[in-house]
Amino acid sequence: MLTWLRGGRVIDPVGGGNRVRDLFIEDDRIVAEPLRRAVDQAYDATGKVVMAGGIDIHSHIAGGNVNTARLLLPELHPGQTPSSSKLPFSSARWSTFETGCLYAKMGFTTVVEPAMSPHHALHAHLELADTPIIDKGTLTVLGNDDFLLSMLRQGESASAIADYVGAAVAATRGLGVKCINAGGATAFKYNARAFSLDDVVPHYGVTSRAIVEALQQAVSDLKIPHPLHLHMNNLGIAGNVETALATIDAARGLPLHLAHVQFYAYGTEGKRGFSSAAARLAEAVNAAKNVTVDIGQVMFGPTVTVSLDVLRQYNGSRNARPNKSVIFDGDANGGGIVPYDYRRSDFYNAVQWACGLELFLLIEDSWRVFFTTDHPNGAPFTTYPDLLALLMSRDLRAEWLAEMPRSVAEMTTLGAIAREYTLDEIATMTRAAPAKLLGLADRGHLGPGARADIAVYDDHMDRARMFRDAHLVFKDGDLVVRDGGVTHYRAGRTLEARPLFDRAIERRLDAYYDEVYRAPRDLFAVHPDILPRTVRFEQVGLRQ
Amino acid sequence: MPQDACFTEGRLLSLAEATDAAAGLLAASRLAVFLIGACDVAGTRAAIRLATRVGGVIDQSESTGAFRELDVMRSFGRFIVTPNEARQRADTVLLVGSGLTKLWPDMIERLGLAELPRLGLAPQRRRILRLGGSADDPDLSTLAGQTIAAQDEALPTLIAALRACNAHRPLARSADGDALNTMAEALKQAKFGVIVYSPASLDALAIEMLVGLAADLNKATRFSTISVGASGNAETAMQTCAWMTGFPVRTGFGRLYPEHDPWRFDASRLIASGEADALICISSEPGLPVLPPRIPVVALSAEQSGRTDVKVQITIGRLGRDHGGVDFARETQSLVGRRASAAAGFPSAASVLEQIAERISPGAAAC
Ligand SMILES: [Zn+2]
Repeated sequence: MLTWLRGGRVIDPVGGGNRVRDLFIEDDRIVAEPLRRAVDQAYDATGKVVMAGGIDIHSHIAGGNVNTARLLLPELHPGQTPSSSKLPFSSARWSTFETGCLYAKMGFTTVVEPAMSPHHALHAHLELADTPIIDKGTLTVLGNDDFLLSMLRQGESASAIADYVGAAVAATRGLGVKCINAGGATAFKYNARAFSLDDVVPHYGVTSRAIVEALQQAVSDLKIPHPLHLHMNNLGIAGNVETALATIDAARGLPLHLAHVQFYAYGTEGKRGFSSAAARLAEAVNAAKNVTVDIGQVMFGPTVTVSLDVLRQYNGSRNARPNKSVIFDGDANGGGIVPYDYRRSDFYNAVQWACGLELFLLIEDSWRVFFTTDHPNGAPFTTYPDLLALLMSRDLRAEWLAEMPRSVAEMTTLGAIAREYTLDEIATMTRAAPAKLLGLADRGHLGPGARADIAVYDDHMDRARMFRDAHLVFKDGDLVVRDGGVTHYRAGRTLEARPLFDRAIERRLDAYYDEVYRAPRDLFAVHPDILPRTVRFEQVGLRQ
Repeated sequence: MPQDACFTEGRLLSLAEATDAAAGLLAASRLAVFLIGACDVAGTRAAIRLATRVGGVIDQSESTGAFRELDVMRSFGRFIVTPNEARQRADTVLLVGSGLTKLWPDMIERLGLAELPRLGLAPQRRRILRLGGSADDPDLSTLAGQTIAAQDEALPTLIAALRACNAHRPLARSADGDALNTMAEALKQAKFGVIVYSPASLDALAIEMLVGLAADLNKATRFSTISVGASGNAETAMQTCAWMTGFPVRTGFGRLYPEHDPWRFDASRLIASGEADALICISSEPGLPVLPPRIPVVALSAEQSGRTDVKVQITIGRLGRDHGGVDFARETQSLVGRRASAAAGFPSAASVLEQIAERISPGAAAC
């Protein structure tokens, strides 16, 4: 079937620039303008803005800890809007079904769940199977697991470690590897209350730095497109910009992705000992071309923090709003679920908000900075439209800043930053760059051969309104959203990297599971035949 | 392949006839209650979908204990450790209340109570402490270093007293005062301590105080808890319902959006009050639950002989034998995969529920 999308302002930083032109869709792909062929259907995009479907590289949308948050906080999601019978659960607040619909409405078509514990991988994939429309991927979390730490203690070779990492990614069907406070969750089990880059994990005698280096190397050796995705030590602590700067150095010029860096952009100035160090961090990121970052922007309102950094979450549970939390010492990472309410009137929260915006605006290369709120940790992803509006308007930022404690402006440089994101930069940051970072060659752009994931927006001056409810969204060429409303469900794909590794490691792992976990390793493996029939995995090409 | 083991009031029926009859009964109902017992994720998903289709209610047969626990979590939070981690590293284990090994026959082995913790820094025997439940399990009595005997009814008071000792608050004079002080001191000495209890033998107040005790102990050392349920069944339903609807079971779909209310949507209350006019029981364990009189029952069960008090009875297969799938494992505290071992040809709960749904509204999207 041939579809003609006529006369929109097409913004495609990869191949097409920014100009008014037509797009043609043949089945699930974008094609060059066909000669002498009748179109089957046409949509008028005159006056509209057309971009590839958005890609979110870091959003906690599925898995055991997210589900615990749902159970912990029924008050955070009272449901009152009826779902249509064609779209069951689409209005069920915080359900996986609602998540798929809300992303699609904003023109996002691919989302990565970045914190999948190997022993909860099945759970994550089951939730993703019930997340309609969008394509999904997961990052397999390693770096606090006994098997890896024991390998490092014993000085095993890089190739043996790569085999282990490859086997873990394959069994869990991950798209990449994430490391969360390397060694920190394990150290917390030995009662460490703080854990930095050069601290040593008790019992194993390895430093956080050594774990990060080993995983970074393994991901590279396995030719997984997405570099190691790192949640650094010391999240959320005043003065932790030093940790972020040291970690950038620790990358030794090799590819490394740093997650939600807003939470690491804090200095110790001012009478409260808490200030923005975003300018320093941005400068370091600008200089380190091997490093990519996502922001983890804070926006105001009640939310919940869901993290496998259980040490940090335990420390943060003192400030839970409301005062309840779940601290989970799991196999390897575990996790912590701590509700929180970011307040505009709270000095610390307002500085956090400003830090994130400073980073967005001071990091120059929109190919290396990624658009996230670390959903739901900094804010729910539903705040994206407001955040995009802030990035695109200095005046709007000034209005917000004027409503905050005056000391906030003194502790940040935000007020002095004139930059306003262009639609081209937004398209790079939310489409083209994420596709490149994840190795998704047929996404994030609108050239011939690209997957027909397309968002068409009304060109409102009010950018928040523009990005909240897309005019049209196509997923695989199928129109799924019209005027901000989801028209029907379809099953998205699950993207996975299938790295090559020496399968001899599996026999060793089987024996380890029998001995240490007293359970077959296969109990935790993600086999398609035990998932719903609608689940489709798509293999992402390995790096050449 | 066995013949379809389906019945209406004890008389044999084909699977097609049985699903037709179930669909007719559900379509005619004003309020259908879906009571899930042993059921995998796929069956639970299908039940929840069907419940939304007919505006029904979802509950789980073991949810009373699960809600006692969940209520405490929703008010105060929780500390949780997996049995695997407890076995690897707990140097101190406090067993609270009676009936733990009855509920969890493998507990001593899964928690390695008689073993050295593999990941301890200075390997030494675990210290096992018992509060209550003293006489009910000789194996535990042998392992326990210190036991404070008590009936379950006395536990809230004892746990409160233990918590007070731990916080160095003065105790009201009691016979157990010295013993409690000794136990509190032992807990403080722990490097990684685990409190094991069952919501079956404790009320919400006692569970809340155990959470509080764990919170107090975590200020200086590491502590967590393991809650022992009768099975992983309640958790399978709780987890699946949570991601699909945003809420745990005891959720109703009468208004086209999920409403959660542990009192209003309690299956036994809805049946007793006469609000429910159809009951759908789903369990792949043999036997049927106690069935209410007067309300027509659709039973998906491993039971293979027809019962005259059941309107529609359909024999289903068991997870891990007749079909593969996923359920919650108490041993790992996670959803795990099971493969079919010896399929006898009985259909899964999910496939039967999907067939019923298809008969109620043909072609309705299955996604
Ligand atoms: Zn995150």
